[in-house]
Amino acid sequence: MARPSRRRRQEVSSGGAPAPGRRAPTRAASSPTPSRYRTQRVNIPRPWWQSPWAWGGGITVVVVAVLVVFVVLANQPAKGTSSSSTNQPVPASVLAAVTGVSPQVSTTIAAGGLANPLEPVTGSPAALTGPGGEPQLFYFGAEYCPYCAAQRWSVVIALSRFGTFSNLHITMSDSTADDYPDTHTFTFYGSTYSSSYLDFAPVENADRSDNPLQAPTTAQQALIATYDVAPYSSQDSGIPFMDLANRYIISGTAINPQLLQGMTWQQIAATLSDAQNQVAEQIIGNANWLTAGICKVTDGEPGSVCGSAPISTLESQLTSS
Amino acid sequence: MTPPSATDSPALSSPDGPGATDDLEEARSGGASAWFLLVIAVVGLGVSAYLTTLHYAAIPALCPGSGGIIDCQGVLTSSYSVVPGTSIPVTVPGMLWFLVSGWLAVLSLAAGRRGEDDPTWLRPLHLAWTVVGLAAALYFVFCELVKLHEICVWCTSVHLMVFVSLLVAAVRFQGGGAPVEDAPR
Repeated sequence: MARPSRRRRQEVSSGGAPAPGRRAPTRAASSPTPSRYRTQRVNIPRPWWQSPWAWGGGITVVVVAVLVVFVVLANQPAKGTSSSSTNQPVPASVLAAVTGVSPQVSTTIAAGGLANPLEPVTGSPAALTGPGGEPQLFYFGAEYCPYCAAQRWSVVIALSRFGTFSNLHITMSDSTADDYPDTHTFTFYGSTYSSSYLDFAPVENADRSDNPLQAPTTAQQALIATYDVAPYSSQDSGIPFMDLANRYIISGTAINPQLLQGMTWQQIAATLSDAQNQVAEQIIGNANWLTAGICKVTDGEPGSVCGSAPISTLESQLTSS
Repeated sequence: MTPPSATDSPALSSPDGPGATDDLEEARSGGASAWFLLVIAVVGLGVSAYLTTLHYAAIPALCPGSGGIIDCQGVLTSSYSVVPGTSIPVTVPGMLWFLVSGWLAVLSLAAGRRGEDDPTWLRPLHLAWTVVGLAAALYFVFCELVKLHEICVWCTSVHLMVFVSLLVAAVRFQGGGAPVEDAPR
């Protein structure tokens, strides 16, 4: 059946007579619009700036503008003393592993097949001490440095035998493909160390993107200039560099960073309970040497550390300065 | 019987009057965009779940094109990769975001299957949700570029999905006109 015209529907709904010249529909005047007819939607014409394309284009322009601002900010010169750390706190499991190396594992590993890394200082200079008069271990490195990355594992293990780290964070060395990239490690930046036997003075000179972090003091610069050279160091001004109470110099690391490649912090930490693992051998062996050196400058204190194997044995092998 | 006039065209014929839109075409376009949002949500949820798994399993991410500014591990292990003050990776809120976005798309599809229009609150809510997502994505891009000077390709893919979701949600919010009963004869 043909759909009644709009005019006729208006007449029917108002109860009026059909317009002249047209026949009345056979349907009842009060019948509703047949259900088979669908309502047509008609869009109200809008200004162009309210079109969906305008919205999408506008959003895109805003986002691109914001990204351009970000890129400009990213290319700003780094401030002289960038102080914000972008590193996560050390996971509890990793901290537990490095602070809880089994004495049995440590004894079994002993030196881990590593040569003595401590070079005695000649000339009997004044002892390097901390604010409280205790022997001081000065560390100079950088977060981008893969050799520093390897060395920090041993330093944390060794120092944890004499005191406690707080606010220790994790990081990785830089991503330079030809130099042990992304070596997982700790950073001493922002950390604190408390001990009644030893003072620890770390300086992380730059972050993993080589942005400046910490600068050595004048006295520390003098130490670097004096001892980070031959015959103590194979590379002038090389890092990592450590001065143990002006009694021993530790230049570079005895650990091969290649062993740590592709390993996460958790994976490295997990090796420390296995005396047969090569990673554990080098990290713990190096830590044992450092521990022996610290025992030398702390006059064998604490006895629980310095009197136990293998530390006492290694300590006897150290040349006195 | 009056022969049908040219104006008494059946309702299913091509529409008359300027700007007329057929209900079926409206349903099809709205359904397609809802499906698109759902697909994005599923893919984004998958990527976020992958990154979350890597975080808790302590497994390095596969990083295509690694080198130079692209350093997935550097970004994924930075302090910006966890919710501040917690150890919860930011990929967990990301998963929640995609879950909600997908749910909103499903609501739209369900309405379409019932032959109903979207609830009046649905498209504005979805648009607002995508704006929140874009704000978060821009924050993370800021952290990558300005703070870390590194980019994670996985993170970038998630950010792009959020951006596209916003564009589609904006078009869905703006698309369609107010219905009237009949086009004028």
